[in-house]
Formats: sequence, structure tokens, C-alpha cells
Amino acid sequence: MAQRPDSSQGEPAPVAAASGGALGSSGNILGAATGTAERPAPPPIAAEVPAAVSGVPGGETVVLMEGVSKSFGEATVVKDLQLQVPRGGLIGLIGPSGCGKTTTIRLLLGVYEPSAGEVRVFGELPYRFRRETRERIGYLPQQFVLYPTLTVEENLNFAAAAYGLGPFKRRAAKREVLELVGLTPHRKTLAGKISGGMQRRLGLAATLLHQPDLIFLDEPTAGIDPILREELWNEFRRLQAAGRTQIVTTQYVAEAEYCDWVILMDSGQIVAAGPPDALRQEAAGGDLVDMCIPELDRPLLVTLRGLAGVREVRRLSDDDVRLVVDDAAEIIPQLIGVVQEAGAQVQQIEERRLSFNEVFVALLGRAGRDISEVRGSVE
Amino acid sequence: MLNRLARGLVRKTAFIGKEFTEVRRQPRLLLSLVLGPFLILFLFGIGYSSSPQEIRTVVVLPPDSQISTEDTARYSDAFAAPFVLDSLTKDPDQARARLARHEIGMVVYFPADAYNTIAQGERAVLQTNYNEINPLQAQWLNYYAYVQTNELNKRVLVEALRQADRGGQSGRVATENKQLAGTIGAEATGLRGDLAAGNAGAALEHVTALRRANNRAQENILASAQTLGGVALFLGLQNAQGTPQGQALTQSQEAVARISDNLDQLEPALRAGQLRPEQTRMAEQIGQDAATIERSADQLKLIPPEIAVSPFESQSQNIAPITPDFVEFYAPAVIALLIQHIAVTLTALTLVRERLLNSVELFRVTPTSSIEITGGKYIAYFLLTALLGAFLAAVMHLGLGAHILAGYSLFAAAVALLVVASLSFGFFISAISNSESQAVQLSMLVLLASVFFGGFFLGLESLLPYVRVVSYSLPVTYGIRALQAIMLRGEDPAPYTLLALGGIAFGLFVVSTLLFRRQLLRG
Repeated sequence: MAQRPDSSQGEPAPVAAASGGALGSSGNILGAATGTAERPAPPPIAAEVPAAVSGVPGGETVVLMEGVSKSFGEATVVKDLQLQVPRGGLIGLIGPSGCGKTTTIRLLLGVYEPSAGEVRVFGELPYRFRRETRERIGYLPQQFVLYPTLTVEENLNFAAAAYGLGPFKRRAAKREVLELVGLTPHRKTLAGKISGGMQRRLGLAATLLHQPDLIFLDEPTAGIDPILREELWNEFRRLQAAGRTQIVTTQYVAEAEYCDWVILMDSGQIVAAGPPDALRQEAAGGDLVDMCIPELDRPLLVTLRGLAGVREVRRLSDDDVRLVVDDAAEIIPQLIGVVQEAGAQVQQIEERRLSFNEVFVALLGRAGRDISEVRGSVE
Repeated sequence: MLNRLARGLVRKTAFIGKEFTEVRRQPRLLLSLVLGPFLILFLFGIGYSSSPQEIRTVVVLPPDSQISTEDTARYSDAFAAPFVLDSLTKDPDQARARLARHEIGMVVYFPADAYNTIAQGERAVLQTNYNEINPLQAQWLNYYAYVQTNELNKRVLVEALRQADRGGQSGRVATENKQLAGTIGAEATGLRGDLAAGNAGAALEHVTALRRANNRAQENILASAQTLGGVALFLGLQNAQGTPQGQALTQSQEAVARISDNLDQLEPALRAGQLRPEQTRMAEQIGQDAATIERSADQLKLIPPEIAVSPFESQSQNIAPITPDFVEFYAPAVIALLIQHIAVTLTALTLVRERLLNSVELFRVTPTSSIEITGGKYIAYFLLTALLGAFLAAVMHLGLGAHILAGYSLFAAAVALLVVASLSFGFFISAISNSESQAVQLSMLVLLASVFFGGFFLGLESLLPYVRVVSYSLPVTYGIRALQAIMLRGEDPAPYTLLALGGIAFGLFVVSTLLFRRQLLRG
């Protein structure tokens, strides 16, 4: 299993207050989106990832975006992006199709020049990267861009040579990445003859081959089976442990769990940013506790609602109730005690963790996004 | 520094290796690129016949002609190749119908009143009909008809001269003048005897006979002098008199003139019955002049009618080092055209394919520069095309006996230049194309333009100057010229051909790389 990031490792960024402000306090913990089109557009959110999340001492800033916008003609694709990523960060860029994730990555790679604001990667303007800087960067584009008429191994040779790795230097690295993506048995197969998922893995292998310091992965797990996806995320964590900085876009919202820091984008803007647990709490308005009490009655509900640390109480059925609390771990013993004092018995009590899909929808709903549009574009 | 250089080289090898492998994976592409055009051109080379097709001709005689339509022998030898007399007829409609059905190639109508027209000093029109939509073939037919008409005119003239030549023997003048010289000599001897005997009346008879013979000799000499003088005038000879014929003419003319003078003096004196001692000396002189006329007679042949009508015949000699057959002659052009075709086709797709595969997005991010990309590809395709070119040249040289007179090293240098120029041309097409079909279409247009304007079939001289701009923008134009000089003439190619190939190679490579760089930067 992939390790979940230890939420104790990182505190919510200083901008969390701003995030909260942007989301407002009316988010429905049960996923009932209340966003409306009339809601004014949220102010820009700065995603300043604290160095602590990467566990890399020193906190060197690798990526910096300040007030970055990009327009193509009349259309503005990303607006006023603020982003600061320290070395060793594993950052997830999540959002519906067309929200600006790929454009953001291309801005960071220097494929596009920003229309406004400033982008710095390793302290340099990306569209003026020095060759040495480019050698420190790996990029997996969203589409398969290698050559179908070359074998898996020949494609890797091409990628290695394109980064200046000679035949001897590339040998071990090639073996390693082939093992990592599980393509060793297929190394002599033409890239055009392997499945879409394998092509994705081949692209990933080519990206990692020259052991870059900063890796941009645009949908790296698209089309890959769940077991391999998990293995790949394990590898991303391993790379992170080795001090590599990774910025990953994904359409699998659940994969946000694997990231240190999640940046939720919508319509070219960052609508929320933070560690996964902080975002989850933000989406729910606090921790969730589900209780099953056969003798549940109105006076008991009133008692529960009156407890310190309980923000909201909602009856789900005759016996079931859901509470929004400040801190689930702290309040659960107190809740059991209060129910027993009221002469009832707690048949079941558990902290309810929202799936990241629910978090995602809730946060977008709060940001004023029409959820029906989003549902079709994310998994 | 060394490390940077080494990494730069490695980056180039990425593209060299990739392109080699991609082409190697497409053996059918190589076969179609090399063997396809080669076989087509080879078949054309061995199957093309340069000799003109026979033109079967029907002669339509006037309705009132006395010549039988069965009498084809009368005219058959009057038709020079490619004309062949098919038949004679007096039915113009039937002849025209056969022409319409393409059973014959031409109909010649003899004018009904040709004799009267010519007799009145005018030309008679010899009408010809043909049925041809090919303008080139129509031009040839017109030309052949003109040549054939000249041939007929010549035959008429020969016949007329024969008739005018009283006896019709080319050696008549010489023979007759010899006889006349004998007559004059004999009469001069008789004159001398009668003068010695004091017989004025008999001497006068000799003088009369002498004058008759002398006048005839003078006519012959004059006729000969006129024809030879005309030829001398046409040739612009300043000292025609210095030739043996000229000297003979002069001596003969002087001799008959002196005889005439002596006879002018003798005749009135003898008529008056006066006999003087100097008359014997005059008779002796006449005898000596007769000897001169006899000696010169061999040089005074009249020009025979066939020679007078066609005084010149051609005898040409080719001073080129070799006289190649069609396959050998077209070998340099085939090699040049195929090399250009292979190079352009391979490279025309290369950059556009990268764009379509979206690999360009990766190139924008990798440390590989545009010059490393195009340079790597350039090296790969240069090696590939040069290998194919060498194979092609070996087949032409060893298999089909194509010559390489100026040596292999010069040949290799010219081919190398043609390859780089063609590669740059292909890169340029690739850089300006937005899709594979566009690149393929442009490559085909280049091939078509090369066949028409590159000097493959038609010489550049046949093209108007402003159209030659197209020719001079194609590498194959210079390639054909350079390889023809090297292979067929054994000469160094003209420096401008090599300079132009180098210029195209460098200029278009720079332009293509800049265009590709712009595409990389644009995003």
C-alpha cells in the first residue's frame, strides 16, 4: 500500500486562512453542493507549499509563480497563479479537464511564455532555460510522444541520448526504469504494438531515465491499471525521498491522497490548496463522526448539539446521526460518555473520512463551480 | 568543455540512431524509393526507340494524270525515310478516309496544273494532309513534309539539268574539248602547209574550220568556268585561279582567245589573197594553243546534274570522348534524379512527422537544440542517401555499363554535394508543410518539376529564360550537368554547378533550421 502522507509532517500553509475565506463556511458536509453561478469569482489563492512537507531541510524554492496569467488571443487560460514549491515536494495539480493544469505545467517548462506575471524554476525564467537547467528537468507530456516504429528499448535510447546520456551511462538507468514500469519483458517490442497503458509507462520511463531533479508528470497514471498506479505512486514517493521535486497532474481525484500538497484548479485559477487532510476538513467544515444509537431521540440530539467542539448535528435515519466536530479523535470518548449518561447505548461510532471525490466536489461547489459540469470530467 | 561537446554529440546521435532505425524498419519504403523509379527509368531506357516512325504516304494524282495508279515504282524511290509510299490514287476522298482511320500517316496531293504553273514561272503547291493531335509530332510531320518536298524539287531539277545537258554526260566537255583540240591541231597543220604552198583559198577553208572548232571549245570552257566560278563565289574563294581547275581554265581561255585573235588577222588577209611570212608563225601558234587546250581538257569537266543540284553532302564526326547509347546517356540523369528523389522524400516527412507525433513538445523541454535536431537528422539521412546512391551508381556502372570517365573520387564528391543539397530541399519542404499529405504532395511536385525542368529529357536551352528560374532552383539540374561532365565527358564539372549545389545545401539548411526553431519556440 502506498503510504499516506503524514499530516503531522506539514501544517496548513499560511494562506490556509485565505483558502477558508475563499471557500466560505457554508460547505455541506454531505456533498450537497450549494454553489451558484451568481456567486462572485473567488480572489486568487496563493499555493505556497511549506518546505516542511518535503522533508528536505533548507527549503530551497524550486518553482515560483507570481501573478501568472496566460492568454491565447481573447481567451485567458490561467489567471493570476501564485505558486511556490520547495525542493522535494510532491505536488498534485487536480482539476477538471480544461481547468488549466497542462497550461500551468507548460508555463513552468517554458513551452509557453506567461502573458502576465513571472515564472521562475530553479531561479531561471523557463523560456530562457540554460541547457544545464533543462538537463535537470523531466517531463511526461499528456500524450504519447515517443516513436511507434522504435522498440521500447530504442525509445529509451533515444530519450537518453536526447538528454546527453552516452551508451554506457544509460545502461543501468535503462534497466532500472524498465523494471520500475514493468516493461522489461517488452523491451524488444515496438512501441506501436504495446497497449496504451504500456505506452504511458514507457513515457514515464523515458522521463525518469536521466534522473531529473524536477519532474513534471502530466497525467502519468492515465490508462494504467490500479495496481501499477499504486506502484508508480510508491515510486514517486521514493523519488521524493531522494530529494526530487515532482509536480503531478491527475484526473484520478483519489490520487490526491498520495500527494503532500494538493492544488485544486478550476477555470484557470487555484480554488484550494493544502495537504489532503486539511482539504478534506475544509470541505467538510471539520471532522465527521457517524454514530448509530438505537435509542436516539430529540433530547439526545439537543444534548449532542450543545457539546463543546460539536459544530453541527444531522440525523441521517431513526438510529443514525452525523456530527461535524472540531477534532474527531478528541471528542469520540466524550460523545460515548454523553450518550451513556443519557441512558442510551452507542451501537457504532466511527470517524467518517470523506473520499477525495467528495472533497473535490464539495470544494468546487463552494468555489461556485457548477458541479454537474465537473462530474463528467473527473473520476 | 569536453563534456559539453561530448553531450552535444550524444544528443545528435539520438536523431541519427532514431532515423536510421525508423528507415531500417521500412524496407518496402526503401524498395519503392530506389527500385521503383529505377525500374521505370531502366525500362524506358531500353525500350525507347529514337528512330522516327514510318510515315505511310498515299499520293493523290490529278484526275487527268497519264500516270497509272499501279505505277508505284515511279515514285517509291522519291520518298526518303521516314516516308514510305503506300499507294497512288486518283480518289482524294478515299485517301482522306484512310487518313482519318489512321491507316496511313500522310496524304500528298499533286496539283492538277503543276506543269502550267511552273512553266509560268510560279511555284506549284504540293498539298499534304496529316491527322495528328500531338503538337510535337505535328511539327515533325511538317518538317518531314518540307524535307520531302525539297527532295522532290531536287529530283525535278536533276531531270531538267539532264535534259538541258545535251547528251547528258558529265564528262562531255573534257572529251569534246580534246576532240576539238585535235581538230584545231590538225587544221593548224593543214593551214601551215597551204600557207607554205601559197594556196590562199585552201588556207581560208582551214581558217573557217578552225574558227568553228575554236568557238565550240570556247563555249565549253565558258560553261565550265561559270559553274566552277559560281561554286568559288559561294565558298568565298579569293584565289580560285590558283587551283588546278582555275589554272586550266585560264590557260584554255587564253589559248582560245589567242586562236581567235590569230584567226581574226588571218581571215581578212587570206580573203584579200595576201600571203605573208608571219601568217606561218600564226599557224604555228594556233597549233601550240591547240596542244594547250588538249592538255587542260581533263580539268574542264562539266558538273553532273546530281552534283550541281546537291553540290554538298554531309559527313559528320562526333569528337566527344564516347558515343553512349540511350541507357548510358541517361545514366547520370537517372542517378541524379533518383538521389534527389530519395533525399527529398525521406526528409520532407521528417520534421512534419515530429510535429504530428507531438514529439516537438518534448524537444521544447529537452536540452536538445533545433540545430542538433536538424543536424542529427541531416547526418542520418546523408549517410542513408549516400549509401543508396552508391548502391544505385554501382548497379548502373557495373550492371548496366554506365561510364564514369573522370574517376570515382570526383563522382563521389559531386554525388555528396547533390545529396546535401537535396536533403536541404527536403528539410525545407518539411519545415513549411503542415501535414504529411502536404509534404508528400510537395515532394511529388518537385519530382515532376525535376523531370520537366531539370534537364532530364528536355535541354534547358529549350526553355524560355524565365522558366529556367525553376530549373535553376532544383538541385537535380546541377546534379545532371555535373554528373554528365564527370561520367560521359571525363571532365571536371563546371564550377558553378558545384557552387550552386553547395549554396542550396547551406542556404536551405539554415532556413529550415530557423523555421523549425521558430516552430519549437512558438509553442
